[in-house]
Amino acid sequence: MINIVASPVTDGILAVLQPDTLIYIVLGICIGMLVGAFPGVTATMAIALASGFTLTLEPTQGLAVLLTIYVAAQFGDRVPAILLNTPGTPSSISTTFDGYPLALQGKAGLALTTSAFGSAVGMIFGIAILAIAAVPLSAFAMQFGPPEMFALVVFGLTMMVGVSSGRIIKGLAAGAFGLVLSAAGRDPITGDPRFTFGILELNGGIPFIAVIIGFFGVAEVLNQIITRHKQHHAKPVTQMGQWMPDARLLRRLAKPMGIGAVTGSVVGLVPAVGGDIAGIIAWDNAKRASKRKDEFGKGSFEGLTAGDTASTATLGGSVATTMALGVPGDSVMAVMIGSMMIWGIQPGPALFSTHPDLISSLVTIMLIATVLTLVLSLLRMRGMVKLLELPSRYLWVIILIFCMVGTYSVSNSIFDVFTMMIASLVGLFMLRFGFPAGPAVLGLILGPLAESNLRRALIIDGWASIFTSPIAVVLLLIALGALILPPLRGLVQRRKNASKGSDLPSMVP
Amino acid sequence: MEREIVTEHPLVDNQTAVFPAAPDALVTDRSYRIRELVPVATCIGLGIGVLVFAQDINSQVGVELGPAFWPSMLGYSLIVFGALLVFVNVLRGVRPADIPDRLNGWGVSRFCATAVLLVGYVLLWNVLQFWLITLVVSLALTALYGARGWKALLAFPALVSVILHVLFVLVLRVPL
Repeated sequence: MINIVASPVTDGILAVLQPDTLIYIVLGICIGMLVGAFPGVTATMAIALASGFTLTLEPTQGLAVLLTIYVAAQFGDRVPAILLNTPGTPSSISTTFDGYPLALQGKAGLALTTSAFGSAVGMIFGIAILAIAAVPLSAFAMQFGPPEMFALVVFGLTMMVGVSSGRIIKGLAAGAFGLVLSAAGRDPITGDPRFTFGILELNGGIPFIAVIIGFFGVAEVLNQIITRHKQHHAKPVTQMGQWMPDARLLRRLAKPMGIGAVTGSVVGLVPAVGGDIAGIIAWDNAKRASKRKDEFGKGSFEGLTAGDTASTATLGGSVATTMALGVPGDSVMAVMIGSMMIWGIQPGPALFSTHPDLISSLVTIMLIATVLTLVLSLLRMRGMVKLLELPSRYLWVIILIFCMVGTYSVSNSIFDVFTMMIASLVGLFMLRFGFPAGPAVLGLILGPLAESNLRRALIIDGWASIFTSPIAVVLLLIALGALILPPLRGLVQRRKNASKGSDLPSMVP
Repeated sequence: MEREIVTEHPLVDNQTAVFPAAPDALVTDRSYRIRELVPVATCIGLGIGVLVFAQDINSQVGVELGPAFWPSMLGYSLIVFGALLVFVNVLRGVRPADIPDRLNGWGVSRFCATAVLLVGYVLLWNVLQFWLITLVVSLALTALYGARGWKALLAFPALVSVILHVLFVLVLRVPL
């Protein structure tokens, strides 16, 4: 329970209510809405890009920009999903199921506003989870010693590999590659140089912000450049119809919103499971609970709001696990951890004891961002539809140049810019050959933590120190389950389908 | 768990699709499976490289589990993952979702020209005025990607260079 009279809470809130921080929140909302609205520009890419110029800001201001981009992108990405049938970011995949059919029925306006209400409800639910769960979670994690911390890093890495990518071996290889990159520089225990090849700049390790910008920003644009055959644009739906929902419709949506909020909040607490998965699960749950099942997938407001509420409700849980455990809830959070480490804030169990005001700052930033973004989403903006018609070539130019200058601005180093360029080529290779970039970035960021804790644990009592710790064993077993269960489930499903197929009468005479 | 939804996603050619689909049937074409040898070679090559370079790490402090322990463990892991990829992707086949969009000649030319322009851009930062070189490079890139007309080729690059100059040089005081 947070004591709201305690000074850290009010300090955290007051830090956010400073005029300059509020300006940065508004800036973040504008960027986030635009990012969400452009298909192909993900929130991860935008935050990687923004991290280049937020590192010179105060931590609260920088966090305000990055978090509000994240929040606002969750609202903006519904616009192309509803009007173009193209998710702005992966989180709005479930929005397309019912959003676009509704738009085709002339109910685009209602779809946009009910989606915004659902997203706001989900976000507030998620923020409540953050406020309630983050501090107890970090207090629990304070008991962790080297074996548990190592197991926690392995858990985070494997969850990201097993749950989100669907390419387990390549995900593990990408994670190992990230860990190798993190080994460059000084040994975390003895301080001996490793893999520096006589390059002075590598003594401090590979600049991870440069690598993140290369992997998530430039590599994606380069992939679009080499594969896009011609500029073709689907025409967005422009007939908005009725805009604001009436009280009757809102009452009807209370149940699917509740289902979405609960589903998203639970899913969000599992590291590495993003809003896309939560949205799909909630859509399915809402369909099961609905009296109008037949409308789902053909233009159901219930389906639309359930998915959108769930996908945004994951944010609070994702921020909570990232801050309290130091294990990113998703790839956006992995990028944010990188920025926080530059500001001298190390997410993890000790975070809330070293920065007791941070939790209230995070909650306040996200609440303000949610309310302002909801207001912005409810304005009837014709400009947003026009933006959907903007050719990607302008975005490519903006992203490429911003990535170059943003990387330089982190530490005014040309070396960082060339590192970013090399990382973007590596990222392009990974994209083309199916290696997910998320585990690589996570490995790069969490590598020193994993290595130092493993070596300390092994020095204390060998492998027994890990396998005799109940917490470490549970975490490792869950990690193992995340790796083994999806392929096993796939195998069982394939066999089931095959046996069903053999029972069916053949159409061939 | 199968359900029918109506969608007009570009990847779905009919109005009614089954979602989520049953696990994708693997693509077993020889060309795709041979292509998967590239990730295998990369993993194994990288793993061997890490092991070779880990031999050269000299520790000044004699400790148990020295600086080479962790990289060596990762090197072996990469080799194991490379070997597993042979069984999973080369011998069995590739998931359709893992087959990337086809490259095209014009795209590769654009990529090479982009690389040259961006390297030149970085090298000229300290030689020419930042706003000027940004204007020239954004104009060249916009033209390269197919934009035509004065708005695209003059107004847009001018806007980009003004925003970057104000944000990075004037507000953030980055020495560019």
